[in-house]
Amino acid sequence: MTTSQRRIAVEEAVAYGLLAAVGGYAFVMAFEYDLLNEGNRVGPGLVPAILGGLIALISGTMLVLTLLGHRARRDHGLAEVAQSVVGDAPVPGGPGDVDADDGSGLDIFGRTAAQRMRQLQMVTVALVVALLLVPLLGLLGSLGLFGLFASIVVERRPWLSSLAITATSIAVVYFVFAVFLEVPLPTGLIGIGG
Amino acid sequence: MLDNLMLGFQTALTPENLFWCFVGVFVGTVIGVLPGLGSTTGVAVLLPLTLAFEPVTALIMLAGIYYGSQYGGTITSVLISTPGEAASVVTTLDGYQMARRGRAGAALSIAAIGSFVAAIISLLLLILLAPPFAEFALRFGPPEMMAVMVLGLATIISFAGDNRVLGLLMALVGLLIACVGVDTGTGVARYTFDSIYLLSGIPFVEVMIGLFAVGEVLNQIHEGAARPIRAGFRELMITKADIMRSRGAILRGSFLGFAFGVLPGAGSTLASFMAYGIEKNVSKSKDEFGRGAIEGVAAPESANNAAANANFVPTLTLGIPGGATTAVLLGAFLMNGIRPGPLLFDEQPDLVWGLIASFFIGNVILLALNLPLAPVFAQILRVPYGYMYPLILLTSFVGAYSITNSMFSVWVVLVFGIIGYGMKRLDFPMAPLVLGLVLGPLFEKALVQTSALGDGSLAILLDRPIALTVLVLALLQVVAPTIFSRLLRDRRAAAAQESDLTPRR
Amino acid sequence: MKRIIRTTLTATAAVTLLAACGGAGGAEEGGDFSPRGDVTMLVPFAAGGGSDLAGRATAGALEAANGDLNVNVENKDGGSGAVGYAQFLGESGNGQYLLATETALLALPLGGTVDWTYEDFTPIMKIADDFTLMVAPQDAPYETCTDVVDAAKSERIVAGISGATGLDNVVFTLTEQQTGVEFDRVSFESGGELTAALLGDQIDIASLNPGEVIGQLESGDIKALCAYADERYEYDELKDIPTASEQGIDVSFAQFRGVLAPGGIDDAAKDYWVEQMEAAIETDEYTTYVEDNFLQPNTAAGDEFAAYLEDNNTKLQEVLDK
Repeated sequence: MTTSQRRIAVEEAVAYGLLAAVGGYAFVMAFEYDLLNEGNRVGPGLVPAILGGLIALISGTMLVLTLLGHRARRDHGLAEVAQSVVGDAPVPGGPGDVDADDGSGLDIFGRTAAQRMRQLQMVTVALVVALLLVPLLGLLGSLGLFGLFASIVVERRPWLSSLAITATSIAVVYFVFAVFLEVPLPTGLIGIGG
Repeated sequence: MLDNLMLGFQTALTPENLFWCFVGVFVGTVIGVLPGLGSTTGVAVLLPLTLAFEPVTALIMLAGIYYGSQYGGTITSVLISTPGEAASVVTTLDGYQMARRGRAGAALSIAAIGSFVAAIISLLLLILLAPPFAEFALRFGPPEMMAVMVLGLATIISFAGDNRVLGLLMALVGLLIACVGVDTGTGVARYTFDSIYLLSGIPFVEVMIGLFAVGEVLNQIHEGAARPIRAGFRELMITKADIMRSRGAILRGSFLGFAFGVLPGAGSTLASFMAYGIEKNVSKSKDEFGRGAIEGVAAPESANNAAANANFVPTLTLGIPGGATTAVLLGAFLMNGIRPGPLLFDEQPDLVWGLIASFFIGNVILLALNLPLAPVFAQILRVPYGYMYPLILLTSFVGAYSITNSMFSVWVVLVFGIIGYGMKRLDFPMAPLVLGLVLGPLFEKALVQTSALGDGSLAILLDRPIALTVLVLALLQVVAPTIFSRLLRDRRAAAAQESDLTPRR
Repeated sequence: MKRIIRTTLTATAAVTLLAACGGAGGAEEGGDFSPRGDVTMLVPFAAGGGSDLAGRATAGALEAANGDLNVNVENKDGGSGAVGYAQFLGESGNGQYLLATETALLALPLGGTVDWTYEDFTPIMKIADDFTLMVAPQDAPYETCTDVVDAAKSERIVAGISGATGLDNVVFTLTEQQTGVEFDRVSFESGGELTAALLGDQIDIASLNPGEVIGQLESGDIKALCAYADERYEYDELKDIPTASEQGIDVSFAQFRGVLAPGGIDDAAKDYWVEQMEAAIETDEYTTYVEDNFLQPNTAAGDEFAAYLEDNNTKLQEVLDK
């Protein structure tokens, strides 16, 4: 098994574990709502209890199977997804040549999988930060900042074109949503994008 | 009947009305293209625009907006895998794959053609059969609806592909997410953690934007920027072969869609999911499904549109909205002085037939506008993804905000975006989750009502012939594929044996 | 953890909004009040519903009565109205905001899902009452509400209701308390669903607003057994329906529709809006709205509205807390 396969297996185990926990929690909580109402009628707790129980049961089983190394799903894993996305006409240098299993493939900008993982983390964190800043900068303000960050820092594009593209998209979105559809977008303390 | 329709066309076909219908289609398409904004939100946000007009003009413009925003959602489903509403989730499965293979133009065209054909068929059915269909739909009480929901959930089998357990698991998760919020029957708040925002449950449009739009963006960042798709203009055009191939799918989708759309509730979503499932089962090239089969776009799009029109059967004849969008439209009708109900056709013939005529006109304009534009829209894929994703994220979040005017929606999108990325990474199927999320409340409501009607027992299901029939159908759907494939294998084996016996020339 | 973040966020957002709006318009020091720029009419339900119709009609009537006013309708639905009211709570002191209110204002706090009461807002005007009718399918074996009550003594009568805090559940409960019979309840989600269930013979009786069933009443598919109103309707279509008290069941309960301002606004702002609404209910827009929806134009301004709410709340409490 290659490292990447093992990593997927670990991630799967984590996912099943989480699902089992969520299902179990839902199952236990469901008893706080009545399972059955008077006259044996279906109450508010019955459906969640059954669903939670089933989820906990299935994910628990899958978790055990994954941990025991039953690789039932390996024939239909990430590599196949990448393959089917690219289709039958692999482009040289495109992700068709990326071997998702060894994790060293370069994309068209010549970035390695590790770099891309870093990009993903940066974008995700930046998104969270941007949304947390909304009360301060307004929705368009912070999403504009996020756009700049994504283009200049993450994608490493020239700052002038990034600024132009971001400003244009913000302007268009502002016109469509705030002016045309009259959506009261949050403006923030500074009052951007009212 | 024909006279009435002519009367309708006479009222509707003025240059002014045509112009506003065109504006409606265009604006509706633009709104629908924004991530997450489908026809329900599209009609709701644009409704005030129509209030300034004469009733007929307002209605024809609304029809334009309705069809336009529906199609706009299809465009994003195909191009960036972001459905505008639950009913177009299925379109992303094959539509997006077609786009990734440079066939976005064909996918968009077949969607437009399929929707158009379905619209014409369903409108004819609406005119001819509205009263008997409405009558029939009334016999679907809680037990029957519960059976229909079971049938719908059984279609998950068609989506899970090789891994039914995982499909089932995701559907269960969707159903469980649907349990969050105030239970409508008893008023008990479940899993709300004292947050007022969770009282109305986890909103599925936001979940969809998150899973599909944001999840896909994150996934693409991780997968690495693919080379932009540079298909020639000619390849973007739909071919005669495409149309011939989709013919059956469109017709089946249309009739199936109409049948489900008449039932109040989740008609459109169920119809599109089931249409896809059926095509996948009857198709000669099953393997292509999920990898860009054109029937996989044609069938659900036709079914969706036919169901949307069939939704008007209960809306117009009974005054009972058949779906979320028709509920909004019902409000619009009331504002324009139309009082849908059993007497509508007798009391306000000019308005009703004008309305039905404007449905026809709206669909014609939609086709005329979008068929030539489909290859043009497809050009957007030439833009490298790295340049596009900040814009997709921007519109997704602002679009989500505009649904309820609250930051809660935006956070839901982000959370489910991250979940969606995880699901894509682990190859967990999303369609069953969305189906579960949409059907969950309806299923539970029908279950609770059935149990109340049966005074605590579900045996009532056995007394109702329709419910029983539907349940048997559901069972067949689960069991049939296995039996069929076994039969097929046997026959193939037999045929192989036979061919071995025939002497070779 | 996420919850804490979210709560803090909401709080921050509310404070921010308050700061921004408080500066922009809202409460002024004594004297005259007039809104600056556009006014927002918040509708705590989705576009196209009964509340939305009321909100838009009120906004239209306000604009018709005073050409200087510009009222924008904003829908904020969710949680049976809870989300919209919660936002309105955050607008405390802001005279630029109004809300189209109805029975949810009382039912939500009584249901225990929210932590505010009607007293946290400033009542401006009650614009109409909407009574309900007890209805049954055309071929049902009863002609009056008394028939239903008598039948319920010996057999199972299934009543469709729209949720536990719905007005229809309230009138059924009141009827039960009056007559000592019991109806079996099946919950549906909307008047439309109830109508469909009646037409499909899934339930025996329901209690619906006239506007919800007028089409079926006129076509004869559904019949009205009695009106849960103080007096008979004056509308031609409804004037033949006897009231429940005529049939010996002394129950009358209306859903109200009205306009609220946020809590904490000063008297000048309150007086201004009461005055504006008094002009608004004289307009044709208002009359059309009331007549189209078969409402009773029973209005109550300012403190009268507040007194009405208090009285209504006590009654509701008795029913729901039984």
